[in-house]
Amino acid sequence: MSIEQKDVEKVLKLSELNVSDEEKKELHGQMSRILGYMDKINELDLKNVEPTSYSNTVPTFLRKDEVKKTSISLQTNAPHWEGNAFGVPSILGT
Amino acid sequence: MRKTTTIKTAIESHRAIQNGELTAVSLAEETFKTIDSSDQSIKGFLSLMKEQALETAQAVDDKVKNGETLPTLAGVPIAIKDNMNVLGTKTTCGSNYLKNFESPYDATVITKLKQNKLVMVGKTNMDEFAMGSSTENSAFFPTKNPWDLTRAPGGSSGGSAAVVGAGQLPLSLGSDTGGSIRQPASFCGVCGLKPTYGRVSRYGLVAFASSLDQIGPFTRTAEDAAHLMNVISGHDPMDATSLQDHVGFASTKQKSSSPPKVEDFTSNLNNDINGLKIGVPKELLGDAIDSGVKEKIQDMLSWFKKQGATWEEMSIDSFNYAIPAYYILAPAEASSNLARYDGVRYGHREGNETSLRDMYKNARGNGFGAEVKRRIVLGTYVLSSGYYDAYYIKAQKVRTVIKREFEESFARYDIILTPTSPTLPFKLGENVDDPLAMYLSDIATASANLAGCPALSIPCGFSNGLPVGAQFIGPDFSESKLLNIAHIYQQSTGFHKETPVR
Repeated sequence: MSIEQKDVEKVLKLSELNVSDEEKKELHGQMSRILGYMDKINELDLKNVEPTSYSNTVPTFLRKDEVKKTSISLQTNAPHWEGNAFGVPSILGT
Repeated sequence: MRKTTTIKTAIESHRAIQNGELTAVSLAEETFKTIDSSDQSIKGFLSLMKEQALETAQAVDDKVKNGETLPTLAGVPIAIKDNMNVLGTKTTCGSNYLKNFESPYDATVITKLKQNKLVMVGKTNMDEFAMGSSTENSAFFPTKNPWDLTRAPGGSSGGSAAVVGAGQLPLSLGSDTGGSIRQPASFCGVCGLKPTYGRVSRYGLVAFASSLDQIGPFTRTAEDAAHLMNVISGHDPMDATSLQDHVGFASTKQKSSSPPKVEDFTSNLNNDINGLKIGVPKELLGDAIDSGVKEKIQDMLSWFKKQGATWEEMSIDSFNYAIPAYYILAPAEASSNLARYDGVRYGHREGNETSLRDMYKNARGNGFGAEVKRRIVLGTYVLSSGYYDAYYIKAQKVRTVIKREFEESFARYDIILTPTSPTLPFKLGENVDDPLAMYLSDIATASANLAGCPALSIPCGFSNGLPVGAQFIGPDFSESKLLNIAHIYQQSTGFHKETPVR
């Protein structure tokens, strides 16, 4: 399967990444080569194979959903903090 | 140039501290001195934690003075890959995006190290978000291979491997998603273990590909790795994928009425390996493997034969499909995990945007390096409508095939033995412009992550003065068996004691 420059543009939009035109071109070339190599999996007959998403063969366990106190300060790592909240550009009326 | 080291192993230092022959403070001071004199050339550390370290060391010495019995490995210096949160340190993940990120809490492995009073000395360099095989994708600087400073230490846990390989300290922690502990262990001439998926809690580890990520130890000896596994493994309610303590252990060895016990990874050390059956996949002995690497693997196989073990060439066809499957699944999971980096709550942000979208795009586009962006784009593509079935689902099916082939192999063989890396440590800069060539570095290692089973890399000789690593892969929960085999090998060979001299 080959990838077009417009596919790269679409994926960049989906992944919210700002990249230069030069980077876009480079990405297109690299993606084409990488995806070309991925096509190797088409050599396998996978018709009657179930997909695996986790390797665990034993069940996982969930803990009780309990509210606990934390001393983590949200402000410490906030790039922009206003009053008692994270500051972001206005999302209404722009 | 190399020499046989006289540096104590972790367990030797720990015992000397307990016996009062050595103080933890003097060992910590000596470690910082060694780091000060050699870090300039190795560049394995991103930050040091001198104050915290000396405080912990003093607490250990006080315990000894009071006649208390120390917990496992108390007083021993250890380095931490910079993708694990340690309160009071930055956790940069090798990224400009997180270069000022203050750890908000301790990762579970760190809590365990603290409970056992290990002396954490610093955070180590890594490929950005653990994506890479050479540590050249670090946003800050590349780490050098201690055996040849013009070569890469491997990656992504290159810093953690290099500091142990250089003899700066006996222990470090890394994380392994497709080979990120084992390949650098091989390149730096040390022992590196990727435990069974779920053995070690991932809570507080910065997520890359959650179904594959696993934390594990770097050491010189298999014995030290067994002791460190005793410290870091165990069920953690904060990680839903972490295994219950009795899984694979007490279920067979313990009556159901007694409380679950944690496995002792040292309990099998010194077992006989007479009659051990080893499978050697022909897929990893072909032309793609460096001849010097193959030669050392052959030497190791001859050694096994002399010990009464048997080996034979066999086939695991899916090794040929592990890289394409891995480089579909890992970026897919990464693209989802890294969606959290939006510039809102923490991390990089440009700050002068008027729209939310632009803020996201700039924060991510300028905060991430080229390889991280490449993987996000690749992962988003294989998950996008129209390609999901062709790539993502197919790769998940390949994962099933790999798992099945491993299970079939373990019905016939106790372990699978392969070279850890297809090549000797490559030159810095050699593969940076060719992502696909860099990806092929993981050809022998990625399968174990996809199947979930444990795998260990240990040094098995030198070619052109550079270390060669052998990988043992075993069925789920077989860490102590792998460590025992490595331990017996290390009892009669000296490769693990070799250290670079310059």
